[in-house]
Amino acid sequence: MKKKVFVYILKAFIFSLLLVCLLVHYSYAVRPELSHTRRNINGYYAEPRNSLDVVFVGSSGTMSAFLPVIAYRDFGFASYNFCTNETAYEAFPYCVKEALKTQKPDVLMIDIKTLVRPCSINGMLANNEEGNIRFNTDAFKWSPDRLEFMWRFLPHTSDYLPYFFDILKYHDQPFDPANWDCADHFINRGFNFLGWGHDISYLDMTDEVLPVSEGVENAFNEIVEICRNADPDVQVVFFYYPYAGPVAYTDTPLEFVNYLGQRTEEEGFTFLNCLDYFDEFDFDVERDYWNNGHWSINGAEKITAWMGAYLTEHYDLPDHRGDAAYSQWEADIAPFEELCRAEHEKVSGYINAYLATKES
Amino acid sequence: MPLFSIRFFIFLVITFILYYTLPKRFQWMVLLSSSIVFYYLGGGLKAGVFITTTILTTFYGARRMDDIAAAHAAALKNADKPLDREAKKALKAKMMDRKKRVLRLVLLLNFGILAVLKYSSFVVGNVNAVAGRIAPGFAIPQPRFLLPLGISFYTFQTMGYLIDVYRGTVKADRNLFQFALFGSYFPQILQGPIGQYGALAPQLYAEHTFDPVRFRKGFLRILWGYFKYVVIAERAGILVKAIVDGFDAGNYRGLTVFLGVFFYGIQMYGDFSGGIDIVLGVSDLFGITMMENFIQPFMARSVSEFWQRWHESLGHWMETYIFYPVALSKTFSKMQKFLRAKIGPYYGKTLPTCLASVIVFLTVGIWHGAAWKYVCFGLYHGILVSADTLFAKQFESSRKFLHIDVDSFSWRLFQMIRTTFLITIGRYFDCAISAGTAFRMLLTTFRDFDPGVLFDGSLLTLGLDGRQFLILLFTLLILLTVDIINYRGTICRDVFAVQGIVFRWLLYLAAIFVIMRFGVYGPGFDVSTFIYQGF
Repeated sequence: MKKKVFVYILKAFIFSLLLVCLLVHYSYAVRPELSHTRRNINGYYAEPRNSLDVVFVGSSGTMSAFLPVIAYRDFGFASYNFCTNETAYEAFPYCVKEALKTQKPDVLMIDIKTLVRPCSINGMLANNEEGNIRFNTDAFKWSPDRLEFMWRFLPHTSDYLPYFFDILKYHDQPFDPANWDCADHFINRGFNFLGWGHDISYLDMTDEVLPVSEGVENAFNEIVEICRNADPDVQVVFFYYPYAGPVAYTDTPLEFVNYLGQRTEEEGFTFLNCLDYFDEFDFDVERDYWNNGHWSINGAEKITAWMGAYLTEHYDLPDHRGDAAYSQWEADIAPFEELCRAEHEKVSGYINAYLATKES
Repeated sequence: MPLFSIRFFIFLVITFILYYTLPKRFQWMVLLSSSIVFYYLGGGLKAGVFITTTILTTFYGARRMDDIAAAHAAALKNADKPLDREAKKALKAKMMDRKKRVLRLVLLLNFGILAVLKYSSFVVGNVNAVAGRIAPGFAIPQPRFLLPLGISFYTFQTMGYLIDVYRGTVKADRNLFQFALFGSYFPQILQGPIGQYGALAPQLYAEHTFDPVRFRKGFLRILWGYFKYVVIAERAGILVKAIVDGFDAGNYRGLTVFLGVFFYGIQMYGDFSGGIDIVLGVSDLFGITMMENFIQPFMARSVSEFWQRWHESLGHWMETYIFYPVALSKTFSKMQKFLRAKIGPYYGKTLPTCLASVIVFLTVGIWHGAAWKYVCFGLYHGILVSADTLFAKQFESSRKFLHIDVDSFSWRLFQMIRTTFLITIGRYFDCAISAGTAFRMLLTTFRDFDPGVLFDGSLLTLGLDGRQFLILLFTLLILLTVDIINYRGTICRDVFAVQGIVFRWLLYLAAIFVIMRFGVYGPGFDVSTFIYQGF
């Protein structure tokens, strides 16, 4: 009798496991593209384990700043922008944690813009911004961390069940077998071609310091904790890209940047404020931006050149060019250059049209 | 707690584990506790007051009647000298009279609760409408009650038991808590089937050993129920909603309206029979067999047969507790005698039976809801069933005259299509917002009949695009195929349940996948609860 019961329980367990696997993978396959987020994260999961040398963790701005394939072509190191759109500061520690699950990069670059421009899950809930909340929840693989994040920050009512179980939301979406395991090679390596924009404004530099909110401070402390517990070979750099003008949600981003820079150094990590080298980037306000917090392909190429050189100079990064293990990177260079060329053409068209209108 | 929800699934798993892991003598207590929790989560404390009242009054009422019967038996047994026939008869009449008083009191109280909660608003509304014409400005405040969860189902089930005890066909339950389980058994409280005490209660109280084959059958039945509800009914519901809601705005007419009502029938079948499949499947998991409620209704060859196949437990209840008492009552016997003398033995016998049928269907109509459209719905079906009985001879001779082979496939198919058509016409009253709207919908169906809508793509503008329409048609084909196989006597789940583990598991996983993939649920869809929960 006891043997029979054991067999029943074992069968039920195996079947449940099969079922959960099926549902989890099915939910990956029907997740729609959420404004580049799914592709970026799926692409990250598709990279061979521990194959990346540099990982940039950030939000949409980070996605538009650095061209990993071009950096590989020019400097030889493999990198990825592990970013989602509208990353809430509450979600940011989980992003850092997730990035370190499959990669052990030589350098982990954490773009603090997400903490400076603190968009929060609470704010999204208050404004009923389902899409923005889903940027933070629906790109990642199922894991206890993902559930923990949602459990901490989303209300525990039946209305929010579709966030916990995204299959409830997406079950009828087109089925994409390529995403069955939430991993699909992404040639852009987390870079996002945004196009081009104008009316960019610059902020005056300042040395003033303004403490961030308690919620952001907590998120920062969590990230620090995660980085401390990370593999000791991973060198962590908190940094701020040379973003242009005011960043949405705050009029005092630079004061926060200064504060977080101080806090980073207090915690014993490196802080790189790219604004200190602003002139070295030689941005063209008419051509290099999409908006104050994002760049066009022109701006991205300048940042890539600068950041690539900076990383190569300051860190002992390997050169994988010619390495058979990185043949995929080699193969991606030409098609990615083609994508860049097409983007240049498109952006030049916009710029010329804009300048012509402006002159007339 | 909706049956299609993660909460219900977790609740069911916990109940199932407790049911089979605790000592068997506690099984009925597990079911009772789960039923109380289920009812509390679904209806809250206030609703609990009504079901508790019904259970308590029925339990003590039945016991009182049993005590009266026992006292009567004891009186007969302990009589000093043997009683003659007349004395026994008098004693029995006295006993029945005392039982009847208890019966009436409990019936009055419980049907009174149901009537007040469900129908007072309708009655007051009509009184106001009539009185307002006589004395303008006259208006009684219209009461608005929230119906307690499953009130119609548990009231009918417990009152059926009470009448059975009165008739002496079952003994009164002596355990209040076990009886509470009979009155509130959680899988059926939402939408039936309306169980009979003699068949259901002994199973609820019995000890059950886990039976793997039965478990598989139950599991398959639950999946089949979800398939019917989430994939078919909810999808058909989108179409129905578009047409019925759009009718009053003048958007639809002719064949489109007919198709809307036809798909309403599909929606009702998927919704109600799917829900019942879940209920019966869940009961199977606990080793409990409940009454079948749907026996391939769309295979019915006449309206009478349809009602023997559709919501059979309600039909059985109506037949046992309304039709026979009415048809066999003194008034009807007198009427039969009178009519036999006036219009001959056949019609004299049949007409009162037909009248009893009309009364039954009127009651069925009113049971569905407090509105004139349901009165029309009941009358329509009552008249059709009566006509079927009343003109049976004429129909028979016409068939003979036309040399129709009644067993041929073509004739049977014609009968099924004809029955479906007639039932669809009746559904106009069910799905329309009011009786007036139903008549207008009927009028436009025949007056503005336009078969062109089948080909001009306008059906694809009703909320279901081409892909969704194809899914609906394909899943309907699956439903029809399974119904035909079942109709021919092979129960598909019985066949599947005894297959090898690989086949079964693949089947389960495929079924779950189909439900997850093609189901109409979640925030992207407008999910409604099971329609019959409203009753």
